[in-house]
Amino acid sequence: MSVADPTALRSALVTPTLRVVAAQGLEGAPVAEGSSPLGARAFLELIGRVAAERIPYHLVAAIESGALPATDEQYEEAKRCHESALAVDVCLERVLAGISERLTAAGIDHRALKGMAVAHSDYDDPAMRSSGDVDLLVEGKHLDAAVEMLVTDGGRTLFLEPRPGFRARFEKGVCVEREDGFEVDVHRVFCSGPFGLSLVADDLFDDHAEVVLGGTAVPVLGRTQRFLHVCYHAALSKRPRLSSLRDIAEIDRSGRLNADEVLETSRRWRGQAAVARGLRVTSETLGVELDGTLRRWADSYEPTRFEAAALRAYASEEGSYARQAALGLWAIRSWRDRAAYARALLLPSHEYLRAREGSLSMRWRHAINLGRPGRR
Amino acid sequence: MSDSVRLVKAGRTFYRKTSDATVALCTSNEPMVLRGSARIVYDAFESPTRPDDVIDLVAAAFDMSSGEARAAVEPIVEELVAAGLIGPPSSTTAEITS
Repeated sequence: MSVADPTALRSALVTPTLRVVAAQGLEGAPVAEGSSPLGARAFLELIGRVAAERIPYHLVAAIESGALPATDEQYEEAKRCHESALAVDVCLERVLAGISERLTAAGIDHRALKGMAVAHSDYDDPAMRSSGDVDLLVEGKHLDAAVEMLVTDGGRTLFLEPRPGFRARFEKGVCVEREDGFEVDVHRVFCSGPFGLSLVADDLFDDHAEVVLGGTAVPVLGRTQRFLHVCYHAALSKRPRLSSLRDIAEIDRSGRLNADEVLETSRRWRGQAAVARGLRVTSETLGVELDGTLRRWADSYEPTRFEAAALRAYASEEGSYARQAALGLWAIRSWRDRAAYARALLLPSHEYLRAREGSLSMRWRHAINLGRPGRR
Repeated sequence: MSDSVRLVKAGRTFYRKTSDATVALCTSNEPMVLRGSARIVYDAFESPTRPDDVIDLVAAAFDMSSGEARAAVEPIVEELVAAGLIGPPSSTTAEITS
């Protein structure tokens, strides 16, 4: 296994038992070796991993189907673990529904993303998909207003922007920590760095579907964009959660995905390599075969020069936020935007500098190191 | 709450169901995990229903005396009302969506 290969690394970190759980119910899913339940300590470790990976439903299902032998006590423990996750899910749903209502009232178009959006749109039962935070997408022009609304409600933002207006124009989005401890990620696009800057943000609002949460209709992305988002998330994270890989498998096997539209949109976004990697990571980590066309395409896809460099900035050993920011310049289409982007990163505000490198000379030294091959 | 008042599930309820529990949240800070008889009682309020009718239902389903059923059901109804999960039809919506 090469350490520079995140697919292999991720796959190696997933134990056979965890893989049995994560792939439960999918075509070709593995079953546990042997017929004896895990020992108490091993099961405790498994419960911890299952909770962290947000797949408690699948642990209960694996036990009920016989794919994972368990004692009665372990089965009860698995059910309590699932109920605890569901208790968090309903709290997050109430937060999401409340924010969505306020955004709608303020005339801010938005989309719920990831966990709760796919739980209600792409799984047979929303209890199959648990979440850990609230993710929302707004247009760049509304990002500051949406964040301001959450801050007025008592939230606080966790990061500064290099210059005023930078995050609404170039950043992935803003994380807001609420007083109740829940985090709300307000996205402008799916990810930071080159893949976030190369995608066509206007496409994200072209289509939408709705989920109903506690009587409130909450808009979500259309299926193609939902699928692209979960692929980007899985491909560009150093250690994507197994729940995210499961999202890819669930949408892929639904039979309702338009493969041509996925490929055409991701080509326009210069992100086909992210889609291909998302599919490969899912198949190899879960140990299952995904459905037809897209998987065959992913296996033979060769990234472009831009995509290969961009992928290295995320999920490889040398990947870092700073490297993503530097490569962002390559992804921006207009020279005017490139100039504004470079100016903000090379000459940020004093407040931003103080919180980061401390001085302009330190920041520039860091930037020069990023440009040298083999340096982190 | 008078036994003659009809109660119904709150419209703005966030919930998830498993094979043996319903996890529900309405106006309280903490979600409730409803299992066994608590889930049966909660589900009995799908449409406006008097608590006395639910007591009769539980007594028949579990072969209990009316007194035993009342002792089991009343505390559950009180908790459901306190959590905002059920209430008079005027303050709630009969239909739950998710």
